Amino acid sequence: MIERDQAYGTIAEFITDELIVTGIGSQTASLYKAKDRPENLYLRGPMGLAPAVGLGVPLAHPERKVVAIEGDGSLLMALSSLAAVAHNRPKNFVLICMDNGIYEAGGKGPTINAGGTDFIKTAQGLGMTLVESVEDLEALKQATKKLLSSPECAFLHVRIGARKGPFSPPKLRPYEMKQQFLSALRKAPQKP
Amino acid sequence: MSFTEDMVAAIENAGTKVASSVPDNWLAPVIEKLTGSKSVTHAPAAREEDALGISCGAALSGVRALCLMQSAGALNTGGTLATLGIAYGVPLVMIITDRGLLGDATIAHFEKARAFRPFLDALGIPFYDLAPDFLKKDQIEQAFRMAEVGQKPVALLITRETLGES
Repeated sequence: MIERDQAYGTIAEFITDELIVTGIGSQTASLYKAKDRPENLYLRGPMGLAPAVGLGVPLAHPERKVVAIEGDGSLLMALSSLAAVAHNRPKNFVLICMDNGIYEAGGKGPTINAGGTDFIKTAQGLGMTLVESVEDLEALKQATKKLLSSPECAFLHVRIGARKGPFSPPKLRPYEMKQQFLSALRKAPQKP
Repeated sequence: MSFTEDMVAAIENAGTKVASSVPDNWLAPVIEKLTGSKSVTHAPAAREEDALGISCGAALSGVRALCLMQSAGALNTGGTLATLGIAYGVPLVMIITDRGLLGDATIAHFEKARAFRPFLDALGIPFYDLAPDFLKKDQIEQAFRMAEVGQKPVALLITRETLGES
């Protein structure tokens, strides 16, 4: 199991010009803390829709790599969105599920079937072919590097621990986040 | 042309880049034809909230996007419309079959028809009936302009009258 901030910090190390959509609650707060940048579209609602909203971005911009990050509780809430990703499978899209087994921003109770859901089999059963599951930092590094550079739609499941410390979401209002994201999109991507 | 051909032509003429959908009887032929469009990327979804999310994601990244669904599914999207469509000011067009009105007497549609328009009104979503000659009137283009001016989702409603004789 990987500590939450370490998981986000590790993924952030590999982020260059990717567009990122994060799910409400912990995913938005964690990426905001690890690597705040205009290319991040932070969702403050609704719960469960980061995969669907994220899926819309690569369909609109097939030239850009897009990542969506969602929690296990949110993904379970909208498993149909994983079906939509698997069906449409844009080559430039990576969906990451951060699985801590709890509703971290919703009272910290266990998610349904906490720890017992096999997200890899679920993703494969829905039609995803490039899938990885990791539980330690080295594996996360390897998987992130591989999937971000892959010319295939991918699903990454990351087993993480509960958050430590205060919860600090972005200060911007949703309308301002939209404007920031759009402005970043209109600029040419910055190559590393 | 038929309702189906007119609808796909109107969607393409409006410069739509991404469309997402969940079908009903009236929309299924449109969706099938839209899937073959050269200018529109169509992404089917299993649930109306996902279709709305997909098209919101596309619209939030700066292209014209729309979603197609029935009123029953649209009624399920209240939270998404409020916390994403309205909160983020997404200039999105929703094309929705408004089932259960006069000329469409089906028990499955009857009760939801009474709730649907007040539901949109309560959310502050502007909605307009599509005329039978919606292609000639450029109504999908007009809806995009409304959504972009207002920076919020706009709904176009298909009724039995929209379908005409088809």
